[in-house]
Amino acid sequence: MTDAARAGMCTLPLYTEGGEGYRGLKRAVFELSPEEVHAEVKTSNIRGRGGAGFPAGVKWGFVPRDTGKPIYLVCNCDEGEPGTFKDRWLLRHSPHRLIEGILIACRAIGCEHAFIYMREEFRGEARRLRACLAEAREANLLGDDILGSGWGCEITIFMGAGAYICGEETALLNSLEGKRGMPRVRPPFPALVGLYGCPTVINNVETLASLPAILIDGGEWYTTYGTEESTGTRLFSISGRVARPGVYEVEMGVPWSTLLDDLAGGPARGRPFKALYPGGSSTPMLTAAEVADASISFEAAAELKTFLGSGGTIVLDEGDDIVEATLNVAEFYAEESCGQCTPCREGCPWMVEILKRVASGDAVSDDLDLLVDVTRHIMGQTICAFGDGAAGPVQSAVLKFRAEFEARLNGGSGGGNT
Amino acid sequence: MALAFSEESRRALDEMRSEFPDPGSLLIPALQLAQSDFGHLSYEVLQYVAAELEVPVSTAAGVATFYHNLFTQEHGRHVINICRTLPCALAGSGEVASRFEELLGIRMGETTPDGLITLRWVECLACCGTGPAVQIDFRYYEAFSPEQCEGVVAALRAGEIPPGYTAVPGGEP
Repeated sequence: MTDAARAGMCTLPLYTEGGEGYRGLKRAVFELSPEEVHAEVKTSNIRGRGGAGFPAGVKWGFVPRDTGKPIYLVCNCDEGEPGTFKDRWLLRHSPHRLIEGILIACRAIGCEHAFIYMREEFRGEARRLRACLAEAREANLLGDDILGSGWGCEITIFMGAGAYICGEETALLNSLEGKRGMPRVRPPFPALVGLYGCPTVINNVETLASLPAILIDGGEWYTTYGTEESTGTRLFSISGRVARPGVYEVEMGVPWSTLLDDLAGGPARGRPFKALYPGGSSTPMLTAAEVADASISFEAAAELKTFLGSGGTIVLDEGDDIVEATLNVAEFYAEESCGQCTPCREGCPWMVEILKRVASGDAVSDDLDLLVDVTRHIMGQTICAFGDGAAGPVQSAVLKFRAEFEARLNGGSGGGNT
Repeated sequence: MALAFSEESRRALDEMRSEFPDPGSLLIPALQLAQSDFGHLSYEVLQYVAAELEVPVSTAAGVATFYHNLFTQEHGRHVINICRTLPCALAGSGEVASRFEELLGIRMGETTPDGLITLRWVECLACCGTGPAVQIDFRYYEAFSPEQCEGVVAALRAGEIPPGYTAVPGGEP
């Protein structure tokens, strides 16, 4: 594909050339009732691609239709999970697919005004998306009377201002409402009380962009890919010590070697793999040995006491220092903590302090026990999953690479403090 | 000295008023526009924006101090953001940062004495496969090498957009 064609991929003419573009929306509006659209997505069993992996069709079902309040759809485009860059890829290469997916979701849940919350760093991508929204409006795919159906739907872009935590769905809602991005206590869940106090569905960019294909070929078709619990395909972002980092579409259920070796080209610098974060820095690490026998699915990840998160795989090899990697990631969480709950606000910087001591050779063995103890006081004790995301991987690093941490104690000599 | 939004900012805000069901949603965009009009969000600017939107100053101040891209202190005309998070660190962001520090004579987090450039560490820019990732004035520079630093500084000093950014067709920030 030439650069020009790739650049042109964003435009409506190219998206609809060949007949597939917006065919899903047309089916959703003209051939199916909104309930049937919802049923199609439920049948597909597609699970959220943003991090939590909750089945989209089930989430949509929580929305009450009889409150008299407007129902909102919010597209979570605040991609910030370290290791993840597939939503940005979708925005750059297939923005119309996202628009179409949003409209399909709106049709299913009874929403007439959707919002796209975009991280501010995507300013260029946002302008491109606005141009695509204008194209869609011009072609009557958006607005008061979509394709003459009598159904109307609007899409508004909202730009963030720089905060990883705004990728957490309720922090996102608070930010959209003009507040600090602090997550909400649940219940009530957004499906009941969301944006502006109204029933709200929040879905990830990739989840929404998967809907056109599901509408065109059917939910049943989607289940022919993947496993029973992990249907379809996912976009994995892979970075770190692989020869060909990038975004790859992977069928659920394939072995990790398909992604690591076949697609991403294996180790980048001739050293064997050591460990990886399977789905972003919030996911507990897996060792190379664990990965060698495992496949990519929600259930396989759960069995290994980790999860697929946002599909952002970060790969380390034998030349990498687990202590340094863990410290780098811990500093991320200390920086990005919203500060609302004590275990996270105090625990995240504390983990950094301990890890710095380990890294500089000033720690004693009690410090490792202290570190694990701090993680236990964070996990499950916070208003949102950020705390778990910060603490879980640290726990896994100390558990699975204890020797590396111990080798750094007291300068590695095993003697007393200097 | 009475503060006033620029014509362009006022028009943008008026448009947004009709786009958002609740006027509370205008606060962050208003602060972003104020920052672009007035340089940074001083207390005086926060008072102005709060009055315009009929919210307490403390609300505006709370929001202004929460988000990474809202500046309540003076900063350079150009902001060079370098991603420090793990994948970019593995790709060599440390060397890029050191080279910029060397060329500009400042440390990370500081602004050049002439007020031209602020150099900052930022967290993951969603660019991990093509690190080290750098953003300069919201333009992405991917697979950034220390050798590019000199050209970037020269361009900024000449009032030009440093070359080599990732183009988004029709998407200039």
